[in-house]
Amino acid sequence: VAGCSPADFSTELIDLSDIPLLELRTMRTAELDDAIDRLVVVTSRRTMAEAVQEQRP
Amino acid sequence: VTERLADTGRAVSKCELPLTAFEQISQGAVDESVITLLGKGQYSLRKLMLRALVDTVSTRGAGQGLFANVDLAWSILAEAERLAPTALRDVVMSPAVGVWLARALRAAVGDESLPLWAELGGLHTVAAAAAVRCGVITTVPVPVVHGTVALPTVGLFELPVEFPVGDARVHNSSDGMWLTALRGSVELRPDVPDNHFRSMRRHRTTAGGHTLDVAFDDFSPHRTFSSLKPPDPMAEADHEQWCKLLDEAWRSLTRWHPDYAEEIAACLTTIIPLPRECGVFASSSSAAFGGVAMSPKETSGELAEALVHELQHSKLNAAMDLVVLHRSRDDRWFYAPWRDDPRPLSGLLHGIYAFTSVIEFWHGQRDVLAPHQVVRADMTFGHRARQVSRALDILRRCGDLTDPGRELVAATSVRVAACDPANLPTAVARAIETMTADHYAVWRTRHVRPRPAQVDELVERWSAGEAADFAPEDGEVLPSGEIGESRRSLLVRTRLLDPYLFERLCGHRGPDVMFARGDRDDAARDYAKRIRTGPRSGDDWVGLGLSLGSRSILNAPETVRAVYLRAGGAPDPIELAAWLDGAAS
Repeated sequence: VAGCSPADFSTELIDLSDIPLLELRTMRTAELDDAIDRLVVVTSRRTMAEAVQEQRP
Repeated sequence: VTERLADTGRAVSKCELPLTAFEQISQGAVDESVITLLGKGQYSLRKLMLRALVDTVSTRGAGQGLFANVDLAWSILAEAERLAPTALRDVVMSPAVGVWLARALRAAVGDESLPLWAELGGLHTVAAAAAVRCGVITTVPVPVVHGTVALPTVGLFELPVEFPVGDARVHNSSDGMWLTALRGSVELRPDVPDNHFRSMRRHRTTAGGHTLDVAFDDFSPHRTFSSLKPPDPMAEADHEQWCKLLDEAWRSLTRWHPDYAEEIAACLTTIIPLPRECGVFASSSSAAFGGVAMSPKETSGELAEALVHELQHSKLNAAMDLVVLHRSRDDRWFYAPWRDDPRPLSGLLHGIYAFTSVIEFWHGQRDVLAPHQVVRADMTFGHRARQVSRALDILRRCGDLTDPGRELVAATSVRVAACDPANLPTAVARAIETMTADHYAVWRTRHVRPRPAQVDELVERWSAGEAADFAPEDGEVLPSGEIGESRRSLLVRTRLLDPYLFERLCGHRGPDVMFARGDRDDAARDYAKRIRTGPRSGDDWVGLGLSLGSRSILNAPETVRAVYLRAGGAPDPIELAAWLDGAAS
């Protein structure tokens, strides 16, 4: 990608896909706290309607 | 708002999007490995949302009613994951659960229009579904919504009572599941043929080495991505029709568009049937990865196109959770040629990405259609190509794209050009040119505010008999709420696609009919006459602009109208347009 120096995109999304729910319930890390804080901000800013893409005839 | 505990020391990495995967996404259809990657990101996001939800609820404390015990629900989910992780993921990733989770989190962080206690019931419903799917022996309280209990990916219980019931219990044991309500006086078991339980219907079809396996969600309250809806179970005949069309569409997709078929097979999990009269052709949501809602389709071609189109939104939504494509504010509005209302930049990105797949679909499809279907396919192909090309120009000029966003736009431009959209029959190309010019100009009359200083200057020059000095400007976009296709464009399209219907529609005289018939001079005179008596009608100004081929009107009708209204002395609209065109030429 022009202008992108890293080989891959390191994203802002924390990877919880392989962390068991049992552990996730009580897990505490600075990254997780930050991720939750960011999610709360985004959630409170967006409406449900904004999330929808719709085609009308 | 979240409760802080001591750091547990667990190292947590960030999701990554390999460059090769992003390049595949930019270039259109992707293989299964990219869908797996995007799905992993979405699963991670759902887990994060679940954790954020229970954290917030735990912090807010008591007062959330019957469903306040989030630890019970969480422990069931955790046990379900331990016993059958794939099935648990299937439940959590179902589109309706994603929409519920987004709503519940909104309620938890303070959206007072959504009662948190009610949304929290959804967590218990998900836990109950997980228990059933994964074999957790337990009893879970669940909310009764619209007289039903809808278990995601499992099925729907309909309570045989006529008065409102607020909650029920889902039980799961080694002998199966059942539901009780009203302190046990109501007991429903799926294996009892009393018609109070229906499983979620699925359809599996194989063609060309690809298998599509989808669920039909016609009962989940959150299935339509917005407000809660009561169940609307399909009649058996409707279900059969869906399956028949899906089989046909799948044969066509795997044969003529195998790349798109591969990604649909990997990504599409759920079709949400919408009522025919709902006015929505198809829709998707960033909260509902893998889900497509759509009204019934007349042909397998329509269904195939809708699936290809909506899958692009699912893909791009998931990609946008991983990589930032733009830094535009949500209140900066743009012209999106496929929409009547102004859209934020993310809407333009979604549009170019999804409609380019439609262009590619019809580019391939045009060669295999029966002759009577070709004009309509040409029209769809050419119209979408024209719309996307215009949006690509806007995106290139906007200045808000990140490097990956520019890459997506560049790759999309190459894809559109590769379809050779200039190669169209003349009549189709002319109709498309008219419709796109009409749409843009009408949009401006509705949503663009002319710059007062420019209007003042033009009025002064007109009044002084001087030459115009007029260069159309982008203007300030203020969404007005006005939508709807112009009657003129409808007639132009109908004349091409259905000449018989066009003749019947032409029973009423008027400038729109004259214009659609090609009587441009007569149409211009009629539009001008109407403007003299009602000069605020943007639609008439655009009709005049199209009839005259006036560049000033077609590029900035809102400004021309404002000059006319301010000029005084009732100038002739045709003379005014010619004066401004003299400057714009």
